[in-house]
Amino acid sequence: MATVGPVRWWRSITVRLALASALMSTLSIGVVFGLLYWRAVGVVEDQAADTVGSEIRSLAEHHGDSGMIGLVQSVQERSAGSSVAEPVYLVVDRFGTRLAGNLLAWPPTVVPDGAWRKVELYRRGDDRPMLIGARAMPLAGGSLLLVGRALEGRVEIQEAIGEAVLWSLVALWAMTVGGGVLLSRTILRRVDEVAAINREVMVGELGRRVPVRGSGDEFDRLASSMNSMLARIESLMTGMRTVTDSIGHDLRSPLTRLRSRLERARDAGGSEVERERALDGAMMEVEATLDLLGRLLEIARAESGLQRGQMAEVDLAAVAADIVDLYAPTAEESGIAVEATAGRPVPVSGHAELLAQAVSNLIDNATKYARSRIRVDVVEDGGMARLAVVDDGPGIPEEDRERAAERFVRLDPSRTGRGAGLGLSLVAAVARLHGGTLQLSDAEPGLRAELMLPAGVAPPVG
Amino acid sequence: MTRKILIVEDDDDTASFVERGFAEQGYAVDRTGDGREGLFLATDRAYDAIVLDRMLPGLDGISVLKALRAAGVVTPVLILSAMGALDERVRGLRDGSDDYLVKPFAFVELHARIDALIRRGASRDEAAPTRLQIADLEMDLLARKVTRGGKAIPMQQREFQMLEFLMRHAGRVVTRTMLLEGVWNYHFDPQTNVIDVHISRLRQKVDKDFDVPLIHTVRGSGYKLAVEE
Repeated sequence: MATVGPVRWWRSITVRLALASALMSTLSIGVVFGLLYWRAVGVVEDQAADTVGSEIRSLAEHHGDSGMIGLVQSVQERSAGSSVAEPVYLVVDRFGTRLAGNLLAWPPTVVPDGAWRKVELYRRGDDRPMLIGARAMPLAGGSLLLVGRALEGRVEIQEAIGEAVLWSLVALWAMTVGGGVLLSRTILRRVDEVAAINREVMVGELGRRVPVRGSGDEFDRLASSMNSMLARIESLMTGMRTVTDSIGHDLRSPLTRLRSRLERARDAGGSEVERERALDGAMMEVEATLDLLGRLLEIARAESGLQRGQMAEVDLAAVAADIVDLYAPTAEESGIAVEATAGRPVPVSGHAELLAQAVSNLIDNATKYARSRIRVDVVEDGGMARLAVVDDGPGIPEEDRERAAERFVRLDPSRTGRGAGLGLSLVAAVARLHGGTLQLSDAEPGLRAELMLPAGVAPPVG
Repeated sequence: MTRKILIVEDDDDTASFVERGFAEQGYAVDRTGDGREGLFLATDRAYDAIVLDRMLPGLDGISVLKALRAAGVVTPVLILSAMGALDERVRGLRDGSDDYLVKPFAFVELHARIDALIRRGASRDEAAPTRLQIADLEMDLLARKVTRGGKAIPMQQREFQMLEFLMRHAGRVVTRTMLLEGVWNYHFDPQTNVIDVHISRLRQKVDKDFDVPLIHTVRGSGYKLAVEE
């Protein structure tokens, strides 16, 4: 047998699920921030392009108004103020000679057509290229003007977003791990709870039940289904224990009597008659014992449900009529009239032999207790086939009715006649096998034993 | 003519108990505890009946039975089994056995049943009778009428069926369970003396007004319809 230890968190399915979801979240964070970055960079660049566009236009206008001198002056002012050299300016004359600006030479890839271009330029004293967005346009007189902006903001955005990504991931993983551990500990606790109860049940504490919290969640559902299973197991075990105990008890007395009869036969001396009588008595005891065993086996068989495959359409009314026919003379011998309502067929899906046996037990039981009459009714009523055997005997007190169908229960302890207290429990077992019930009620006076089975030939439920 | 019986049963106690019983009744008995051996014997020699255990070493009872029937051997077979379940009985009968007896059993029961099987096997070739007669008791199966000494005896259907069953087994022991199976077609054991009461009612009609009783109680086993000396 494999031992099932407590589930450890790294094996826990919650942890695995949390990890998988963290991976998914990481991926989606990557995609989201990637898009964000792409869009932000675009916006920054568009802004730079607009600024550069209006600046170059205003500088060109300035050139128109105040001539080259004014322009050069203005450019020098603007470029001087920015040591970081974020704004880039260059004015060259028609020979390419630099007149003003913070660029040393005209970048060869920049064409003076006013269009937005990106170029990588080296600044003095810096061996790292710098990304510049620039526009250039020709001025009157053949000179050229270039205005640009360093697109270093892009890097900043990159850094900012990178940082955001990092922190998001840290937060995400922290939450995932924390949440996963918390979740898995919560779930583990409940699983451990169930496992612990299971172990207790396994070592024989059949009365233990998994606590149901009433929240109606998955664990509650699992718990209540486990509890009904445990209840079934317990009742089977109790039943079995009762049976073993009772068999022990019930077999002891006939076997003891058998032994004494055999002893008497052995010691009977020469008396042939006495020996024979003792042997006859011994035979009777053996018969009774075998009978008892047979009945127990029948109940076990009906309870095991093995006959499910043998279900066929059976007319319960016909079965009842047959059994009444079989038992009526015996009942009449003891002055009991058996009335059977001859009704229409009541088809059920069932095991004809077991049903017959159940009905015969009911009638046999009624015969033992009835004063003057027994009535057997079979009707179909609201989807149920109901077979009622009603006697006018002393009945069963209400508080004993539930116990009456248990094995070996003889409600009248003084009864010394035949029967091991198994009759009704066989009926109850047969009823259960057919997805039905055995109900005992007061017939005022007497007992009304009613076998209720699902009517029709649909397969039995349960 | 000595009747020959084959017992295929691996439990020594049961086998010798059955063997002794049949030998005392004047049967010739062969006995084996092995399924294969049993199949071999059953196909090789002519038996009047075979008592076959379900659980056997070598080849189980049902397989022996199927093989026998497949080989065209029609010898009556009674299956002996500790498996008392009704459905086991149904299966055994479906697979070609002629009767089924659950362990533990009384020898008289087994004997009565084997006797009935042999008798049935012997009369298998005869045309189905339309009349049965024992002494002055006559039964007309077509008109469903019973007369004794020329006097009509009115009968209900069950009584007629019981009497017919007894008459078909005339001179042989019929056990209570055989009656329940043969007349009511139920196989469970009724807890009380229901069959005895039915028989006593039948007696009232068949024997009461006549000097010679025909229905006899066989102590410890059942009933017999016969003219006793």
